[in-house]
Amino acid sequence: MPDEMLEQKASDKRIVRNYKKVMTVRDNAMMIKDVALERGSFGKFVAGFEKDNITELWAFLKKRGARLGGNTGPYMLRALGIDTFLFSRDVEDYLRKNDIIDGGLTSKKSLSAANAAFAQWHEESGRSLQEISAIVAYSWGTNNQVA
Amino acid sequence: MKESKLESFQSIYRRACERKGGERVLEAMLQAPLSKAQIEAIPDDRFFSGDDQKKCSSRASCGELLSKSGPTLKPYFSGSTLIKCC
Repeated sequence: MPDEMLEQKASDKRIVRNYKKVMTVRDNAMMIKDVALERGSFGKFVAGFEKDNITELWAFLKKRGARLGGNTGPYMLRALGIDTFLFSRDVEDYLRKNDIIDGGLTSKKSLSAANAAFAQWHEESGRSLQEISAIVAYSWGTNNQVA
Repeated sequence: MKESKLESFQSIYRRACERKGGERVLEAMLQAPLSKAQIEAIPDDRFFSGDDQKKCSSRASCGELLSKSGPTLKPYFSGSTLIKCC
């Protein structure tokens, strides 16, 4: 898909008006294609991540994908049904107030500390990261639905 | 992790139960993710589509973008796994 065509599509009011967002479609499609060629499928690649290193998948999406940093990558994974915790407001607040993380939310240190805590809770309970994430949120703060 | 004692999952769970009106209510609110086998079986175009929905939720998904844009975009995806996206 040439740039010129992407620009044309980005200005088409019938579909989408954000050029940068349209650009990410191609970039992320290429990322998926590259991984699929290397690993057989993107699904196989994603399934290879475990409970204790799921934030490495977040980091991969941030590094290799386009506009998939912050919460976007994890929320995309969640939307697809892939097991991950999320930094919802309640979860973040819990982790900060309990001194599990400090500083930047998406710093390597915070991601690693949060992942370690969730992996520990998984070990204790046998529950998925998704369920634990929701339970942490429901136990804390304003209980936002997405957790 | 900082030098802090990690609260037990059981303690967090009990508090969530109390706040949400009991164990049954809480459990009904939880959703299970896909299994590894199910994740492995997700076709590449589903990932693409999931990403699209996030990126273009303000207006339209990019699957929609591609379909609305007509056949002109399709040749650019031919010969690759991306053909499935169109």
